[in-house]
Amino acid sequence: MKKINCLIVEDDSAFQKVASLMVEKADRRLNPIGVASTGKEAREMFNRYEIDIIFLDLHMPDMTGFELLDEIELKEDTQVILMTGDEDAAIKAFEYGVTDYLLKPFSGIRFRKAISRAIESIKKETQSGSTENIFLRKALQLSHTRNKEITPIPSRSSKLGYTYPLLSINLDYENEHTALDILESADREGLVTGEFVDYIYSCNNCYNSLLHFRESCPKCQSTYLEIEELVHHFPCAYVGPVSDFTKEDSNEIMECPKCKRILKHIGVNFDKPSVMYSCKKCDHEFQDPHIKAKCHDCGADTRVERLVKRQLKKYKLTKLGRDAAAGKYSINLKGFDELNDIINKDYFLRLLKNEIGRKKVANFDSTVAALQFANLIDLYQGIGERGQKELIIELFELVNQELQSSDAVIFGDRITMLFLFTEQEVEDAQKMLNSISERIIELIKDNFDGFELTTEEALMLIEEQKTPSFHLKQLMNSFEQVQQNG
Amino acid sequence: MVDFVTYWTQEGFLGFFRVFWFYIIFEFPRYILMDYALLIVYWVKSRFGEKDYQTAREDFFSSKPFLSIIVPGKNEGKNYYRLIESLEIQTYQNFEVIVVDDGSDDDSHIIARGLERQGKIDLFISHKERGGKASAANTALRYARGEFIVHIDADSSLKHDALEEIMIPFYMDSKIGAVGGNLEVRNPDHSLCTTFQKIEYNIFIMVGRMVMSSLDILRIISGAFGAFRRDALDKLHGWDIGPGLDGDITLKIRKMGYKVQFEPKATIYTSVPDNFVKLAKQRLRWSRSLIRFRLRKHNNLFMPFSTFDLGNFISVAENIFFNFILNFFWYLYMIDIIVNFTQEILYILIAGVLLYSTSKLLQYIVVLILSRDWKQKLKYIMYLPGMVFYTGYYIRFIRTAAYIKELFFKSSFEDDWNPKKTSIQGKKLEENIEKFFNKTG
Repeated sequence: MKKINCLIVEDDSAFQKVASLMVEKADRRLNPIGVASTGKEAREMFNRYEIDIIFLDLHMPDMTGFELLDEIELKEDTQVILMTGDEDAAIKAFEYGVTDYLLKPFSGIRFRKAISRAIESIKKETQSGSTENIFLRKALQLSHTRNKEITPIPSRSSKLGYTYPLLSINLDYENEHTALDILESADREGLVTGEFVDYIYSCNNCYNSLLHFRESCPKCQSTYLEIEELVHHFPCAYVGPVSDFTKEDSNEIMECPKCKRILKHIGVNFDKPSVMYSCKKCDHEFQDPHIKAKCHDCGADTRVERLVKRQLKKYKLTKLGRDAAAGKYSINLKGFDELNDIINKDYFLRLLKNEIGRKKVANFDSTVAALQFANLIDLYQGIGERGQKELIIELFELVNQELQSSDAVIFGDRITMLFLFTEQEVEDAQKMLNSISERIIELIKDNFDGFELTTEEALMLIEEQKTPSFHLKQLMNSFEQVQQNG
Repeated sequence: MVDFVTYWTQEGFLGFFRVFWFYIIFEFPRYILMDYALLIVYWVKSRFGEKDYQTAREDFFSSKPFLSIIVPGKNEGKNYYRLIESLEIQTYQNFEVIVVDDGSDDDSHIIARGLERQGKIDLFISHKERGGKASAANTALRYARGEFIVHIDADSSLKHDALEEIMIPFYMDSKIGAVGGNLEVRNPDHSLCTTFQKIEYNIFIMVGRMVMSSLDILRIISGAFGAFRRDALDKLHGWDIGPGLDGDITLKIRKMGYKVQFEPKATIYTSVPDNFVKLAKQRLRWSRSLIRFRLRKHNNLFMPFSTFDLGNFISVAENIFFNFILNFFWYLYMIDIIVNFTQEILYILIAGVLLYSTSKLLQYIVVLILSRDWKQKLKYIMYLPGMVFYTGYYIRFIRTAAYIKELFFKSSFEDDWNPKKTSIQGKKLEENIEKFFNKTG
């Protein structure tokens, strides 16, 4: 946690010392920047440093505390603690929205309470001072000071095929795609306004946009295909691929296999109404190949319909965005990390570690299990990022209702749920798991036009001599086997 | 009324014959006697053939051949789903579905592609350029993998056991090269027009084709629902330019020495034109094909060539005589009546309606006897008098118009049923053939 900058404004030198001392002792996070004796000094220091908490005496030689508050521009999360001997100022103080109001003389306990309340408020404001917010603020600042738009630049070395220089500089290759999320979210918050530049498709597994596209057989997925034009010979109505009409030795002449006449000119006595594909691997003939995109980063080979399609925009700062760049408005992007508490393998591993520890001292059986919905991916394609999140949250809540309080569930990834059934044998856990998966299948069926969810499950007893990650690996491995066998 | 009765009592049988000679000589033997003869044949056959049928059925299910169901069409997107649904509930399931879209200008290709992606269609081929129905069917045939090809029109749907029923005849007689299914009107109660067509389909398609099939002179396997031996179609390289490609390919298969059969139990439901204008257009197209294929293209059936076969000859001759020659002969008959019986025309008209209604009733009774769902069909009896005017005048006039146009103007080549590029080519080819025969002959 970063330091909290404090400023003490007090004209009484004895009280200055006492206050400084108390601040230093109250909480080690507090960082006393300095002490001001006059309003003018206070104003200068406030503008120079990023002050989080002001301890303000109402009576100063050159102005009152209220006058000072009028003159300086307080940030939203700046906390003001008033200290005064004047009882009557209380009401006015709260009109100014101060955090606390200390009537001199006050006890040390009262003072510490005021401080902890102020720290609490700051924490709330900056809780989401997550990396996304910081990166965005930096980008906004750069954009503001250089008077440049946040523009995507084509780039071969970037994961998206485009880079936002002002923002992507802070993101490593793996996370470059979050630039889009950050900017979209900033747009929703009114910090920037976006203007369409392009669409990009990216891998639905790793968000890489440098993909390799080609047609594949809808039956066996092979990409070894041959494409042939169909020929329709008008006089006899024969239709077949070009190879029906040509002989091996003479490629030039086309002879109709039905009426043996020579085809003259296209459009006169024949035409080519369509094309056919044939798979060299499984002999399947078709017109509607799957178009697949291979990701050279993660190796995923997906149908283009399942790629992630996103808008690429260039962004201009709004008034609010400029305020945020100037530090007058604190950025708090929403829509991030909503799923962090739901999709969290680490949490599961921690739980497992505890459980293994418990098992070492007491003798009981606990079961871990995983439930995978292989074709949930198909469903995800149609409902978008937002819908996916909502669905995952809904599923998570549903399962939590079903579970006993001692058991735990968490998503390992977007299609796999991990379970810990404490002090339960595999058989009992299996029963629970069955009823849970039935409920989920039902829910999906009702909400998505009868979509048939396929589930696979894996269960195992916790072994105290094995590591948590061994357990997780065992569970996930069993799915791969099922897929290979199937 | 009294006058009417006294008139006919005075005239007696001879007078009756003098007036209705056309009916008594041509129509009564062909339509009534033949139908009842069939009834007897059918009764005998089903009496003694039941065991053969069961053996064939077992053979079929144990050899379990792979079928290719081909569905060529244009702008049929809205119909695909119903057809596919009816295929999904078939008692026989070893088949692939190939849909060919012949350059639709609506969303058909999107619908079919969607069904293909759902796995409800095995192969969907979309032509950007329209090529005509024959080329669409040939495209499907080129990529079909089945031992048998079942051609189905997209605007129809199958009865649950239709695939099974259409296949069994192949296992009763190995000489059978093609089997036609029975067409039922899906929307009989939509309008008077569709009701008439329902009755017409039952009388002429169901019973009519049963008669011809049992006489071995069946000349058309309906494009709406027909099953073919794959090797036969392969030898022919599929269909030729239409219209009338169904009749054309049936004849060719017959010429190859195969038998062609009609299977009334293999039922397909098809939507028919729901007003008389649309119906007229459809029938004009159908009727023209008679001239085109029977008279022009297959005229060697009448010549003592090596390919001559009595059955084929009768098949075509029957069609030409009853549909074409008698169609024109009827006008002479009309002139005869109008000129010679000007005074008594009203009596004759009433008697005619009574006579033809009775005749229709007799025909319809055969339909009822041969139908498994005769109870549902009972209510249409009250429309039979109306049928006298429907087939007697409406259909006859359309047919005449079509024949005249086709005979003198070769108009089917300009029909917008085929794209222009193929019509022109078809016409050219035919001219070349004519030239060739003129030179050598």
